[in-house]
Amino acid sequence: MTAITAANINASREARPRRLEPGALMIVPALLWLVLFGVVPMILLGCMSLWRSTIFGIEMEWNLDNYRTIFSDDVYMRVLAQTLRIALASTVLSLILSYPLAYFLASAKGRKKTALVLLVFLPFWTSYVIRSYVWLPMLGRQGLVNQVLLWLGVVDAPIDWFLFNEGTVYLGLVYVYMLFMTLPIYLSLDRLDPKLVEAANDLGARPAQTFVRVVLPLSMPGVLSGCTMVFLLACGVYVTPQLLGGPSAVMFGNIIASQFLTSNNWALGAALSVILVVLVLGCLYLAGLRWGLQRLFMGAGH
Amino acid sequence: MNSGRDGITALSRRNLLQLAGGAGFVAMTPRLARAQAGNIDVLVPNAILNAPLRGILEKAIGAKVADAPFQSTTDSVSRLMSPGGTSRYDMMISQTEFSKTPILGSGEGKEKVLPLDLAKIPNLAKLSETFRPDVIARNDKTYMIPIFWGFDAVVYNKDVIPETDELTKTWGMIFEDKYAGKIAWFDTAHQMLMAAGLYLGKKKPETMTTAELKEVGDFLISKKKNVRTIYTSFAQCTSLLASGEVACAYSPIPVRVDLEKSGKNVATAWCKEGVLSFSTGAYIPKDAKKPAIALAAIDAMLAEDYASKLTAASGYLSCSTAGTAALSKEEALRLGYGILEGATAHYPLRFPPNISQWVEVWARVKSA
Amino acid sequence: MAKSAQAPRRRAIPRLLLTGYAGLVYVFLYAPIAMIVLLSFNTADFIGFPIEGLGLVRYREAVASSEVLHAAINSVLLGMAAASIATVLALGLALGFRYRFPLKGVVLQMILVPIVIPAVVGGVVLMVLFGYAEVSPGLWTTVLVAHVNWALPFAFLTLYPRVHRFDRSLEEAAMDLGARPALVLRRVVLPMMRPGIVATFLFSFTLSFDEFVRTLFVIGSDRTIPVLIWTLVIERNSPHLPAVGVLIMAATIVIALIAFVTGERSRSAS
Repeated sequence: MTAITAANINASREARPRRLEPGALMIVPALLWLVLFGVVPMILLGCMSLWRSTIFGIEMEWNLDNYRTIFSDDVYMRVLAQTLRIALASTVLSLILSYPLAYFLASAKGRKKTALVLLVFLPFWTSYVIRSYVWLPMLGRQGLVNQVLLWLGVVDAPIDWFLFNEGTVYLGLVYVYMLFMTLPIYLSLDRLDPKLVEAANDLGARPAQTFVRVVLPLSMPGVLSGCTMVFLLACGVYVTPQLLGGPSAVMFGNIIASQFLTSNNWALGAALSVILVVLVLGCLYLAGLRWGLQRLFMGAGH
Repeated sequence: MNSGRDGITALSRRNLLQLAGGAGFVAMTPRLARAQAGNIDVLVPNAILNAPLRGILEKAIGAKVADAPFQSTTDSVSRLMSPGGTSRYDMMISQTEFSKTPILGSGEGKEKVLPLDLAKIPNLAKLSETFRPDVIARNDKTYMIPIFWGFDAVVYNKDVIPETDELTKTWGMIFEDKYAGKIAWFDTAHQMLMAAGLYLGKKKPETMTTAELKEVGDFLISKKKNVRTIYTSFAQCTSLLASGEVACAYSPIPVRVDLEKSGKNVATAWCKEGVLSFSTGAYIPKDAKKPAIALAAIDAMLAEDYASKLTAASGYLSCSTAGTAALSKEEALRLGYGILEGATAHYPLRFPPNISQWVEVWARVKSA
Repeated sequence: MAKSAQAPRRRAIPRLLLTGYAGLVYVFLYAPIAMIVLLSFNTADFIGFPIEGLGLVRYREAVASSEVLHAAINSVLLGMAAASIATVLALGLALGFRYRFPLKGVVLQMILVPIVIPAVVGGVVLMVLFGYAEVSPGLWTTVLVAHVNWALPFAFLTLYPRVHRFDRSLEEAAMDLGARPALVLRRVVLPMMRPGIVATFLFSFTLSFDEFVRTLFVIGSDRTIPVLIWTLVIERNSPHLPAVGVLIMAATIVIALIAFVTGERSRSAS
């Protein structure tokens, strides 16, 4: 009886394949949320970028002036280029510094491994603001590093160039986003079958060769995931360059924030935001073309 | 990491519920307490609520004052102008010159603020004559009343820069090369360009033409190499000067007051081109929820209790005569009231009609 | 055979270098933390060096401060609310994705795009939306939305692989035995996904707890912990900021360690 019923059910299921299976309706609450709080605000932002801001607020006149200003005034393009450059440099730097750490973690064993991984997590449980701010008392004229150097007699006077320049921003970005780079790479390496490495070694490969030919390619999903994440975060970062960058390391996030918080030019801010989002989505699309978007975001787990 | 993930299931649902319940109960209590008394939401320069001023004000109006963090006049006006901005706060105070045009709206009937019932502000009679022109009205309806005034100047560290130095008498201290690497600027277009304009000899910087603005912008760009950093909040400025990171900075009053309170050896540079003076006025946004209490607050700030303690606690100076009534002549001079009598050069921070150009020039300076 | 005898020796030096490097990285990660702890005992009136004296005065201030307590409670409650909503929504999404429906790719983009949008823009769009909708900024209105927005894609990314690899044969067996889909969901699917759901909840809570930039744009006069820290540092230069930071960090670590230890114990028990 049961078997016949099951067969009937299965047969009828196959007979009429549905475009919309009822189980799919489970996505509806989330879908409503995404539309209301995700899509609608973005559309509103896009519209706002085509309006005009005056000192009396926003006038809903449709015009392209904001975009014209952005593309003709070299200030914005210059800052955009600088932002991309800083984001790229920070990503590369972060990758170079994080990969060996991830490798180290993945090759640890047992209880020690969990403890070591936990130790990497811990600093990220201080607030993001503190993780950025902390470099001021660390690198300032009266800061810790200078005081140690003076005490050791290495220098006669405090070193100025630790703080308030582009280099400090790199340092700050690498520091605050280290977990985002280390974790995916670690997860990727962790899933690596150690037998593959053993096999390579037994076949006579030198450690360097094993690394380049076996380990590195297999950790690529994690590397890509981490790099994408850090690059995206760095493109939009706002607090870190403001605190650490001094007079020159202005990034796009700062300009956007100032339109909304200081200059009261929401329309221009909206246009700048649209451009940043388009740029970032563009980079993602290019990365996705080569490596597959799903792999990019979910690759670290597979 | 698999062990970590499975391990987390050990936190049972019951524990989480207990935690939620307990925390929820504790969280309710302050909210209940706040809901009983009235309270008003204000956006004002936070220094004017320093102890004991907050207590005096709250006692006078019989309500608590919840103040949001004040960043700058431009930020405050920006919030008022934004969609939904007229209902966020019950009372706001910001620089008169900058705020008066936007808050009045583009025409009659388009004001963003409520007309003030002067019958409820008897202390208006105590307003100093100097500030009568700063009462902003349109067609017999008053919209903005001056409360306090202040000035921006350069604050410098006397341990590093001797008082006898020539540069302590001019805005040039934060521009010239002598103290390169020890200077901080304030991240605002209006003030910085005004100061630079004054230093470069412009008689009326607020009327600078596009060409003159470019000249000022280029000058600032050429001097940017002397700047250690450009700060965005008063507290950052205080921190920079206190830690010795910079030796001089464009500073609003609260910075000097905070530094002096901590015993730092700082002084104000009385720039001969004129320190940048401004008055600030109070106004009530159109859709404020508690306009009556806001009105009472405005009245209380002009009364003797509050006004006489204002300068000592915050550094700002009261527009009400009640502010100096109890002070001796020397005390008044020391606190800065001498500016009003011409003892010190000052230039009013007037609002330029082409402010958006100023903002652009400053953006160019920052990104150079 | 000879090769494998050489191999351990050849691999010893790189191994040492790697461990040394990892050690340096840990120093890099922890030096600022150590410095914050040191500064929290500074009795000076400002945040930072030089150390004028060592004492507990800043801790006393931090603990006595009601705004720190309120901000902590706000952050915890908000975190739990945001994590709950995000987990439920993400669960619906993850489970729903197992079935066919049109425009699946589009929905996937819609879910993942918020990660991609820079935090500033993410905050700004909500500021604009709530401005036009005339919604006053508040913890349980605007900030909650911002936090769920931020956590939802990550929640989905955590749950989806688990659901993806889910063995449907158990589910199908239950259905073949005549159970209605809703019952199957409750009695078979959800219990099997419990570890994933709990992990998602905790991850979302962490994301909400540390969320700062988006919150900054939509918060009114309430404070969450990150925004309070920002206020203390940038707007007030409060000398008890390092103490507050240390207390928050300590509390978070303690909770995490408790979770870890109970996890270890339940693992060895089962």
